[in-house]
Amino acid sequence: MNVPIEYFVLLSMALFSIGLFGILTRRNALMFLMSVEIMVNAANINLIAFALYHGNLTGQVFALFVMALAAAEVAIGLGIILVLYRNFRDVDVTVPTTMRW
Amino acid sequence: MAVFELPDWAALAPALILVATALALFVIDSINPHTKNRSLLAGTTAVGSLAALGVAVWFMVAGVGTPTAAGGRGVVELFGGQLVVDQMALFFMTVVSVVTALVAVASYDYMGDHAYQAEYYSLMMLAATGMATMAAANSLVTIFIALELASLPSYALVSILKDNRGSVEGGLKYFLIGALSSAIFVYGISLVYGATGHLQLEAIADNLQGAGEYGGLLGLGILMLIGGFAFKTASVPFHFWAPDAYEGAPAPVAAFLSSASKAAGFVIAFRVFTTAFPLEPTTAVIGVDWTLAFIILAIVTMTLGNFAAATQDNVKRMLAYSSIGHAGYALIGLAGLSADGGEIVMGAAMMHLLVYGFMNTGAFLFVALAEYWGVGRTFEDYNGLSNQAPVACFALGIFMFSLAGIPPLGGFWSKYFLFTGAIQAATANSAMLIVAAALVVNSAISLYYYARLVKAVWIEDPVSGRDTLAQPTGLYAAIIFAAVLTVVALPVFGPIADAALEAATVAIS
Amino acid sequence: MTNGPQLRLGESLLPGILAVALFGVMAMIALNTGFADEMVGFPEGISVTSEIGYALFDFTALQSTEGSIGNTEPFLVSFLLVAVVLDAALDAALVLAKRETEGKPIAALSSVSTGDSASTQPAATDGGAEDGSSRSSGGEQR
Repeated sequence: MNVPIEYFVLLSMALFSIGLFGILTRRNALMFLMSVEIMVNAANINLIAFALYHGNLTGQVFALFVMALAAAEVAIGLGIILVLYRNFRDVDVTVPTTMRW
Repeated sequence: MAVFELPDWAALAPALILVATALALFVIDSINPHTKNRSLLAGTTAVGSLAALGVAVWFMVAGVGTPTAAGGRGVVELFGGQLVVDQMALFFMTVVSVVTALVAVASYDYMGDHAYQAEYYSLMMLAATGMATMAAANSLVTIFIALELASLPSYALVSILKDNRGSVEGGLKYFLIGALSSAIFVYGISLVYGATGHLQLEAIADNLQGAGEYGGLLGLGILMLIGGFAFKTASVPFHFWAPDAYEGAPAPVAAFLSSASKAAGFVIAFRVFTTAFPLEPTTAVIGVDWTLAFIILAIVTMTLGNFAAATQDNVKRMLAYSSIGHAGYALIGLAGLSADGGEIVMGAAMMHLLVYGFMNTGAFLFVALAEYWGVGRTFEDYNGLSNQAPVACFALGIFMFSLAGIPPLGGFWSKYFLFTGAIQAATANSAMLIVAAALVVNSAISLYYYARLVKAVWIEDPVSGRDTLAQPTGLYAAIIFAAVLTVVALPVFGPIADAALEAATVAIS
Repeated sequence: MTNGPQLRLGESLLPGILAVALFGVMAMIALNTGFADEMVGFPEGISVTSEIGYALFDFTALQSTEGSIGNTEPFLVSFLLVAVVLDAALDAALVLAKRETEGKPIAALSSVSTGDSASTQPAATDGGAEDGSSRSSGGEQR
């Protein structure tokens, strides 16, 4: 029943890297958003595991706030992707190139 | 001295006034949806931010946030140390609110025909609230939430011209990089929490001694935190959103982001690294001196920004890269910290951010004026504008020469302090000599492209067939006010310098 | 067309190597960190949920002092700030999502047809591919 903390940290690092992998390889804005969400949730795993490790609840409460903020961020992200689609008829992040990257 | 004593929470008044203004704008919008009463909306915004400015300056003069030993009223800690109001917080609240006021007045004309007036101003006030809270945040929790509060409305503000492809593209890139960097930032927070068990900055510092075994974890966490700061301040390695977002955004929004948002990014960096990660104990844990990271970042950022700016043809893009360059100058404030000092570099960086707030906002507002006229975007399109609009072009000259650091303008003095501070810090860390040299070389390069714009406006022959140019009251007022502030910064530079140095001393100790 | 997820190999995967390398570095750091064998954990007989509630609203007097729970930080100001952030997100998302007809925003949540919606795009999850086969549809191709 007592899982060592290393396993939690490795799990969260793996999730973080998976999210980063998605950001680096995907060109769909929605996929990008999901990948960012995975990275944020990797941080949540860390926070909750470390809360148990240190025995104080700071990490757990902060994880709640991070979830709320992630939801707010997605709301705005979807708004921007909606406007992007109306203008470019596409959600590919490499399509808008009126300016150089 | 004071007839009555304000309660402790009143120290947050500048931020509270900003959020109250945002809520007032919501109320106006809900009573009269789609109102086009721009005077009311822009007026409310300007009055709110000027009130916040007045209160912040009054608090600073009255000694709120100065330690009692130095004759002040003491640093105010609120909500169990989650927020702190000291001189540095008030200083940056001043910067944020003055920029907000300028941008609000300028938006009166620029956003003239826009469908979402009330939303535009309320988003701006909410972003300003976030930036003012960032100045006071004293825990990684409040820092992260305030950072999101400043970022989320900014994404929407950049893409608020919903039918304009450039605006939407700028907003998308800003959002994508912003979301990525905030994910990295929060992961960094989780690692710091893992290493120390706390998120409140003083508590982190207190627990550094016990974090000996977690050196690698803490180092990785600090590296990721630096990524988050780099995004907010538009420095390397998360700088590449800046040119596109600034170019695509409405020019007043670009002014707001490049001045106020950058200053707010620096205040959290200053606070986290001086309070939570004091140099000696942190070096003992992670084995590397974190100023090294900032020395590298400062040199790379200022060089990249200035060289890229010199190759641009588009004026707004040139200003965007120059703002990256200025982020590099302000990074010297962190690079030059040493175990036994560094108030001078950090105070100089704070002065630079204040003066930069005036001159850079003014420069972007001139671009806003040019966009309002519809004269075009490149240097050639600006040729000979002084024939038709000498006053605005004179103000532009002041902004450009101040940005380049020509004496005796304000930009020169803050760079001079940065330079002397860097030289002084070189006694502790000889790498600072390279930084000082880079500062001088880059300032020389920057003179080339700033002078190029002044030359285009004043010396080149006017483009033939240009109509007479309108004189929008709000934009003119904001530009002239910014120019006056840039010039007035000279005689009062002594007190500003004292305030900044004092604030830096309090923050470091 | 709905397909199952497919692993696409090729050049688009190259930057992903960076992510894999990063994982390697991070895992090295984590494995070399000397974590304590035992987690501190939470003491028996207290309700973690109510402790979270006390921390959320700065009820320090009610907070348990057993174990390290007393080290939990107060979060009231964060709670208030998040309320403002959600306001901002709502405001921003509504501005972005509203549609305009002739420069006037129309209600985003209106259930009444505005009459001219027939002339605009019909809603379609595949993105209303009006230019048909000239464009690859769907997100899985990207």
